[in-house]
Amino acid sequence: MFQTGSYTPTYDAPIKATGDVARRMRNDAAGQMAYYGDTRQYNQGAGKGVAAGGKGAQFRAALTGDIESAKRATAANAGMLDYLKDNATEDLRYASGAADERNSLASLLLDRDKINTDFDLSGQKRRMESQLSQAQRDASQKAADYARKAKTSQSLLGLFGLA
Amino acid sequence: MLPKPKFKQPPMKQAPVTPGLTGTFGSSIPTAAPLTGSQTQQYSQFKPVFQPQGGGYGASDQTRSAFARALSDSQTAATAGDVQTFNLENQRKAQQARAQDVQQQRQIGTDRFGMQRQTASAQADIRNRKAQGMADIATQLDIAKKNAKAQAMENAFNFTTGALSLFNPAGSFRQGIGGAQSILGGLLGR
Repeated sequence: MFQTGSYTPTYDAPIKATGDVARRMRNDAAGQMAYYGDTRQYNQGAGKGVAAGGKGAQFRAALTGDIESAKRATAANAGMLDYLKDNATEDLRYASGAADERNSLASLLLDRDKINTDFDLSGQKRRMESQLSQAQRDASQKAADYARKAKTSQSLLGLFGLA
Repeated sequence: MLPKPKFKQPPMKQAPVTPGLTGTFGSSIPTAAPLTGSQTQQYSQFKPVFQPQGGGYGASDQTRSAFARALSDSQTAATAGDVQTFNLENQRKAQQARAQDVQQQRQIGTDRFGMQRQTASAQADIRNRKAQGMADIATQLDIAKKNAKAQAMENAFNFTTGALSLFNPAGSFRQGIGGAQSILGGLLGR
């Protein structure tokens, strides 16, 4: 019914990103980390009046720069972590899918074996019935032979008045 | 040719020991945390963005240093927490998939075991029916043979008594079956 290889699993390997893009994005984000921080810190003229260019404004600018820098650092790590998470999710998806396929194939093989077994059992039953019928016919024939022989001898004796 | 039954009684073979389900089902789905501790550490921790320079104007800027460290620590903790949440969710899904996988294997194993037992039972039925049928036929043939033998013995007895009656003055041989005159008696005119 099926050609050879019909029951071969099709899941071969998990499909993952190579990680090149994630690493490049991480490097870019890490580079921006220093850039954004430094740029923000140099913008110290945000305040007005006597506070313009003062130490308070400088300090606030420095903190804002640190925050901007931290955002890029987090983005750099988040990109790589997303890449690792995607791969881990793919590993699970692949393992689960491959297991499902294996079990489906095992179920199909069981169905195939059931079909073959039922067919074989049916044949064995027919063969047994045929043998029994043949034996019954032979036995009937033999029993009739015995009966005929007995009847013949009886008839002969009767013919001669000896029975 | 009548096949001779190999046994008088149906074969009562010892039933095979039920192999049962051995419980060797396994799954290839791992349930370990997908992201290791080293990976988590590598991609969640980073140094504080502000590093106080030794000496000079900003060396003693402890406030900014503390702020930067707090920023770094909170980001590290948030990332580590995110990784942990992902790991736990992934492990839960893996555990569920693994249980489902093993359960499917058990189900298939049980079905296959049932098929094997059913096959063995059907084959035993066939053997039993054949043995019974052959025994019945052998019995019928034996009865027919014994009947024929008994008939032959009766015939032999009748032949002997009939032959002896030839020498009997009463001449009973003149009467055949049912009291009619026999051919031999008629020929001899007696």
